[in-house]
Amino acid sequence: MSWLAQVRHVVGKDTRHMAWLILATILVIGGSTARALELFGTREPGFGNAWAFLLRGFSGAPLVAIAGGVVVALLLQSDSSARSDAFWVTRPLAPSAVLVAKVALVVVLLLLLPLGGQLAAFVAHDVPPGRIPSLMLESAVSMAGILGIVAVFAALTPDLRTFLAALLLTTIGWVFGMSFVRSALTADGLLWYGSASLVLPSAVFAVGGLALVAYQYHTRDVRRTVRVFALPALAAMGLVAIPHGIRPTISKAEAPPALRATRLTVGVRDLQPVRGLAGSQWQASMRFVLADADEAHRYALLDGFATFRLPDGSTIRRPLEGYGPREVSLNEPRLSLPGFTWVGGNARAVGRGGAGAWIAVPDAVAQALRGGGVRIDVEGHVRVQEQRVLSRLPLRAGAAMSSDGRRFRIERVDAGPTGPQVSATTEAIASRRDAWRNSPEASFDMVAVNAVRKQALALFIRSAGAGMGHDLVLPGPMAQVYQTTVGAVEHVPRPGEPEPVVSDAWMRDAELSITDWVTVGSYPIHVVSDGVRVSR
Amino acid sequence: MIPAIEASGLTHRYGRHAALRGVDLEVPEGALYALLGPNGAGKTTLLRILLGLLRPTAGRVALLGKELRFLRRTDRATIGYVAEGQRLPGWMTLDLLERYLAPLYPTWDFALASELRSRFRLPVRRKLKSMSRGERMKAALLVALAPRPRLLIMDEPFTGMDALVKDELVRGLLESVAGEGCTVLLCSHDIGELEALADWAGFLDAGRLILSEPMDVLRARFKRVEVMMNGGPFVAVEELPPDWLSVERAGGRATFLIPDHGASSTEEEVRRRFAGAARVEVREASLREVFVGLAREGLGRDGAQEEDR
Repeated sequence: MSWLAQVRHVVGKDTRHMAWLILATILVIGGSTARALELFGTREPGFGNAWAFLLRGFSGAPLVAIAGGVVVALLLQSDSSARSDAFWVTRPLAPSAVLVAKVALVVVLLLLLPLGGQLAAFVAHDVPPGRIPSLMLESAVSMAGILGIVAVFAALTPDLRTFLAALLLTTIGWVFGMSFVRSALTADGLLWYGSASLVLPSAVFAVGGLALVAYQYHTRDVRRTVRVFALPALAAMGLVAIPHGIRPTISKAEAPPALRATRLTVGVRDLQPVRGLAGSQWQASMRFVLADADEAHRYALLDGFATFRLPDGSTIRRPLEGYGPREVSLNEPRLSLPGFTWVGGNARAVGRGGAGAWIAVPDAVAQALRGGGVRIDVEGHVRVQEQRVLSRLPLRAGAAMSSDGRRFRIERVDAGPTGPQVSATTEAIASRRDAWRNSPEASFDMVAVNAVRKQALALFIRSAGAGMGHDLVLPGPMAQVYQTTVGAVEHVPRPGEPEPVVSDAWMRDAELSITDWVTVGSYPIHVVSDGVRVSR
Repeated sequence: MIPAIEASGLTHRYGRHAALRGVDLEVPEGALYALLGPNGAGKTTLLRILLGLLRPTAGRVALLGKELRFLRRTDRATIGYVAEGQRLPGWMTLDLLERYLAPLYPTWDFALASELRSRFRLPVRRKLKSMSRGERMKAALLVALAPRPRLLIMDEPFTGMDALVKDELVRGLLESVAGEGCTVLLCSHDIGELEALADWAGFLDAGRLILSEPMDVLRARFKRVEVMMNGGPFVAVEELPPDWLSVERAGGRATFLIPDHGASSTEEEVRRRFAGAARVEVREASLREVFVGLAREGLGRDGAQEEDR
């Protein structure tokens, strides 16, 4: 029997052996795909929006991963490489053929099949075609990494009970170890606690795991395999354990010279003791003002660092975190709608902004800031964005649009005293690394426009942040679901002032204009502020 | 003639415990070789090393004229293995097991498989995991014999089998495979079975192969001597030679296993040492007696070594 025929022979045997489990796994993958395609679980089930929202956050990916782990474990242990009395080892079977048969079954059942579902989910979520290959790769590598780890444990343990015990104990030990390492490394605040891209460690686990299992099948000597792979395995686990600061993507395009504002001033508005560390750690409220910024553009400091130079000559460097990790808004831009008149409580339609950040500083810096005389160097990159109207939707529930992998859907419209109140869900597909960084609706600004009267009413976030991320068919790229309610600023007319113009009749002709802020480029910045002190 | 099994200097350690200590083994082609030894002597370890299931700490093995590591799949297809407690895929029926294994062996004999199935009265459609221990051993034996192997290695293959199967089937089968030029290396506690079957015997004790020779030579080499004293106490004229084994004394009766130096000279030697003996009886030793004698000798030596320490 040729080597290839042996592979087919073992695949046939395993398929027959695990027919029910394979069928169950296919059902789980099918269910997960149906869920990712929103074929069920998205309609309001009668318990209100919260329940519907929770259901929306449900993912079948963990079930696919668990089913995959069970399949891999049973597949490998049915022809164990760790038992010298395993049935297959005394038969004229090539160890490589046995292993390749298992790998082939795993690839088809647990990678290709769910990847098909994952692709369908990406397409259904209007992910731009250009982003699909990288997201598919991330999905495949993430799942392969999980299966690689499971395969290692399954190949090195003689039975299922030992496999489960080893996997459980190692996971618990690793989680505790990881927490310990992370807390030690992030103690000085230099490393932001967060999840880095899992693609690299997953790839290491997938390739390394396969190599280890192949070596084990070749030698069938657990001790030798452990001796050879112990150090690389620990290093691979360390890859995930070591925290990575999440850094924003800095646009490679240079911002046009006319848009490069440079007059950045830095101030400290307040100092608050850190709870539990009062007297040793303080939170300084930093204020940034980019004086020559164009109001039609949005400016943000990315990956910024502040270096505090104290009167005694010592320096302390801290990363700057604002609205998002390593991202600080620098101005308060304005929306412009040519041909429209702004109405309502806040006629100045401000694009989302707010220039400030809290930063952890030690007592020495706090003392120096109170006394004045602190020099602060701020360096980083400034990103410039401009507004782009994405869509105008009818102001009614169910109206939806999609753009660049983000889907926006109006869930509910209420008529409030000051104008419409819109509850909407934004959903976006993002790589896991990006998903930690941004909420999908973060760059949207919304305006109710009445095209008949040529009037516009700025809507502001009334409640936001009810967001959750979930995997699709496979672990890896995430679907982020955010629920936001926007409404007009409450406005009580002064005596003699006309009643609000936004009436039911106004609402009937109104639409929701969604504006996105699109990056036009970035540039490096380094400014020095002398003599900074706390000034409210 | 190239030996079917050739092992030299085989050593294997489980941590600090040496299971095998420099074993040299040669099994001629076509032989039915009985490997004997007390519990813990290293028999199973030796068989596993021969099959490549265990890696020896030192030494080399050649099967059917090829170094173990150079054996190809086609070579392995000519080697059968049956062991006590051997793991079989319990989810398979015997029918399925045969269908799975048959394509792997170019020499699979379907007729023989069918014949064995009916002779062993094995249920074809029952899953292996729901068979009795004896039935599973028969199934293992069936799939080991059906490919008509050139070399068959068996580790306690009779475990769980009833006496009828052992006597009527297994013996006949083993004789037939041996008759076809198949080499059989068999280790079993059932010395009675081995004595009837084997034409070679090896004795492994504490990791050392202390003898390995044809059965007829072995039988001829050791004599069983029974001495009856004439009512009085059992007294030897002088200290007994160290190669006299299995000394049993009960009242005025003693039995020895002594190396043969020719029938008449052996009896003369015994009579010279036991001058007051009423009766001296010398006959060929059975395999069981040789085994027991050698095992006791080994135990005595081990005990002495323990005391020395």
